[in-house]
Amino acid sequence: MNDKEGIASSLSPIERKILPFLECKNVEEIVEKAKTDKTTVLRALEFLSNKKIVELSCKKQKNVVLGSNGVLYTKDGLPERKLLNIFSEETSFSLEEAGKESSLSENEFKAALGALKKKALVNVENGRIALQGTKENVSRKMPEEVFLEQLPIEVESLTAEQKYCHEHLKNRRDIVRIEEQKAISFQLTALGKSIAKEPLNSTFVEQLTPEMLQKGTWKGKKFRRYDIISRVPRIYGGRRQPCYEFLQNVREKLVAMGFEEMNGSIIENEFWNYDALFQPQFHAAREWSSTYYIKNKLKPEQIDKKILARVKQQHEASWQYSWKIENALKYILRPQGTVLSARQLAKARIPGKYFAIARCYRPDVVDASHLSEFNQAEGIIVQENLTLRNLFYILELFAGEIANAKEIKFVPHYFPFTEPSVELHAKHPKFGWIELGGAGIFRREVVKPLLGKDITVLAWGLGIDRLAMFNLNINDIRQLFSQDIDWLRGVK
Amino acid sequence: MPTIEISKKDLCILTGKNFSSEQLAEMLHYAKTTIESADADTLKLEAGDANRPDLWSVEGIARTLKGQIGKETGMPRYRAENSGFLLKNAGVKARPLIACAVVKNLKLDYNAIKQIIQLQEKLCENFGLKRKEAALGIYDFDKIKWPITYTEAKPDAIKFVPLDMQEALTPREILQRHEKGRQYSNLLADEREYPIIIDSAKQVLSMPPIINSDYTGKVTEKTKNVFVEVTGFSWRFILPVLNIMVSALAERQGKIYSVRVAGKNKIITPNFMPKATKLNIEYCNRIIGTRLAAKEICKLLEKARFSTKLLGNSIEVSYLPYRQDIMDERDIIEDVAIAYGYGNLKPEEAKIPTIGKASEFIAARNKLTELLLGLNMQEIATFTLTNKETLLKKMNLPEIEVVEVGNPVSATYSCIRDSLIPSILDFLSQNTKKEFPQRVFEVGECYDIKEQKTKNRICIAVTYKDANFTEAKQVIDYIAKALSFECNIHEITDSRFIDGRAGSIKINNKSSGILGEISPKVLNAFRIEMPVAMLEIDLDIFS
Repeated sequence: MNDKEGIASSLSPIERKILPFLECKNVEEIVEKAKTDKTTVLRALEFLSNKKIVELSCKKQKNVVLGSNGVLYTKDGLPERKLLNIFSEETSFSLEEAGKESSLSENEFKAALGALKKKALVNVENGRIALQGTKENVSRKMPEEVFLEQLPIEVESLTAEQKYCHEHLKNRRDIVRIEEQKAISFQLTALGKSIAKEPLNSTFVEQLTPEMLQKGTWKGKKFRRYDIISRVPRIYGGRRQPCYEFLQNVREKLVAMGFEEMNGSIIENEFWNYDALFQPQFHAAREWSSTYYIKNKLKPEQIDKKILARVKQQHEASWQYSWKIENALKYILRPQGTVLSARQLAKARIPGKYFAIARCYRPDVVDASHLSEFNQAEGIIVQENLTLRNLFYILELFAGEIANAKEIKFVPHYFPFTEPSVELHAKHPKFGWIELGGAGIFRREVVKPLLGKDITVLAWGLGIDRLAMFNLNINDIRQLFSQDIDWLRGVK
Repeated sequence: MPTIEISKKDLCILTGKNFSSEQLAEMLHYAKTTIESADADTLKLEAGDANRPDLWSVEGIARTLKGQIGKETGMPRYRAENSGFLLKNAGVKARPLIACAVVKNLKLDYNAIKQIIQLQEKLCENFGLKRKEAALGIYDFDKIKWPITYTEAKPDAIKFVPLDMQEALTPREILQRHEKGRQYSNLLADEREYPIIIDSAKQVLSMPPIINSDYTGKVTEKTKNVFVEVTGFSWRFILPVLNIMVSALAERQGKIYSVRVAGKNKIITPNFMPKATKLNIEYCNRIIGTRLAAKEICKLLEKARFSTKLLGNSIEVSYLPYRQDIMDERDIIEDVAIAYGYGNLKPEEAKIPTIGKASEFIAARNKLTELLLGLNMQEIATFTLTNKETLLKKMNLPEIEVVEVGNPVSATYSCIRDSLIPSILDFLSQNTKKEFPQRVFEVGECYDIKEQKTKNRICIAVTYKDANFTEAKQVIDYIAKALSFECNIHEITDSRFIDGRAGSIKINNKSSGILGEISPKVLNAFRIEMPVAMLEIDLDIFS
């Protein structure tokens, strides 16, 4: 389809629309003359270029564009205009009055006054500003105002007057800035010139309609040829949120490994989160700096009296202090998923394997590595005669199945409710040794009061948000909760 | 977890072995410590065990490493010599208890002094709960005239020059003007008299738990002999703090002397009487999953700085009081496992016959998600923490009770949401310049304060120039049909929605949600310039 006719028959309506205007200097001019928008013109130019009707060239150029204040000023007026406007009734103000009347910030006021003095439109004497220019001078647009309206302009094509304005404005805060932009220029090819000269045949069929099919009017008609190479407008499908999708995959893997999911409330009391997990009531972790406390008065939970008595007895025997139920009934935002394990343990089947993927909370200042709320995967395995080596087996399984880790190591660690305790580290191809999670065998002081007898309970927790970050290849934890729909629509 | 700084050279000298950096990184795991960063000779460590304050200084780490490399095994041989040093506790209401020690013949260099100060700080801040439960003071012994008195003084009764200042201040002035005074003044807030330690020449040594005097309470490289005291309310905090500090000084070859406290409390400290507990050999092997012989276990325990005695089926294990963490056999078993080496324990599968199962509502959630993805909807994730402004004011709701956090870090995250609708509107408000139509949904948790229950809800929003009630209703109809439940809509008036375009959703005759077109007042508050239709349903009905 190299022949002229073939090409002419493939021109789309938008291409036809701009074809008569290809003698124009730039895209903006076509937009104006063809009465269409810039995206359409660019798309049409791209189509035409694919058909070798025009030659496109893209060059980088430096443009003077509006800064954020510039955008504001073109709408509301430059500070010097605002200052001038106060002289509608009176011709002289004290500096202080002028500042108030013009409602400019101190910096803006200074800049405006300087600019007007330079133009000899005002005069400052004895702390008073007086209008100097004639009414006509004052009401005429200042060159800077004209300049701002003309932007963007390529730096190289600035006229002397524009250069002068640019010099003036560039030192003031974010009125104008220089931006490197891609500029598209185009030129008709020889083929293009000859096509442009000829009258366009517009009898091609654009869209096949049901009516044409019913009446058979399509017969003998020519369909416009499409440019099937050129880009089409984007569409968006339904996508899962990547972090939630990752968590769901983890859930499915844990279920496949025989774990049953635990559920609980995001608002918990201290009993299940601390007391049941053998953390004494004077423990530093229970202070305000590490747990969110609930302000509202909520009804206290009715906890099984037998369990309460056994926990009290254990605390008082081991820690030698007077354990108080009032301290245990306070409500907090769940700071760790282990609270679900504690609740489950009190009613666990033996043998039993349980897990939870829980939203947890800590009073941290939000930054690239901390969130106020995050996700944790936690769980327990309850069976007689389990060993530390059995725990290592489970951790090794997790490292391979969930984190896809090839090389791991077990490092001694401390958790208040497990003994022995271990931290699982894995070698990451980019970041070296990283921590995947913590685990241990629940202390007897935890198990006996909750279960009424001493059975081995392996407990584990995985830093699931970090795993999600590695999985998604992101460095900023805030991105797990990205509020940018474009990112969510486009993420790999 | 406390972070501490040590000098690598200092550690090597104290251990008597030159470790390479790689060796050290591995060896430090024995002290549950990891290197956070290294800068020339200075190592920044994270002390991984919050319950082992004896490992929060280079001396304690060296003590552990010496055992693991076999340089010095078994229980350390610290001894406190009896002496005539006497401190009289005259009765101090604000901090009733005191225990003391004297350490002589010290050679303190720059690193040693840094460690003493750091250990004092970590012990008092972390273990002593910000000095409330334990405050430790350390003094130049040679400047003190014995005997000493622990007593109390009225806020303006005396004057002394506190550490790091030039002028003499009264206790009241110290609380107002000294940096430490201001920092810890809450500990003496309601007191009419303040604790004072004073010697027989009437010199003030310190004002516990705030500050030492500049003359006696400053330890420098010239100091050879020191006096140490710890004050508080309970021996459970005071004695370990004193013991750990003195044990650290003992690692630096200090000679230890006991001090007798008389008067309101009577005690002779420090006490290096070993504690003993029994370890059942079979239980130890059962927990770790090993078949170690009794002798092997003994050897491992000796490396972990315990002394052992074989007693048939069990081992009598002795240790010094700086190991204040030991409560149960398990604490000792962990040390056996660590000394054996976690890396030497081969993972072993246990057969545990269980059936895996996800929460009941997950099935419904997955089904709903599949349906909505099929409608080209984008799943999003938002926070459950939000604020009153977003939950109530922007939503055009009256001041109703919502769950508030008592100690928020920022006003943005100060309430727990009771609905996903504000969260999703907030999301839309951040995407007003992106391509439309936008169709989004989330399954998330909310807290229902009336029922005192966490609820899983699904919320859907559709926004573009023609978004309307019909589309929201189409979605719920589609879901209802696909999941075959009966769904009825009843008109309601709700200030969040446009009047006449809002309905409550009844599923199987139970009130389960809401749908409608969001009121322009609400959209304005969120700075959204497109119509929004939404619906929210409880997932409880599916379980």
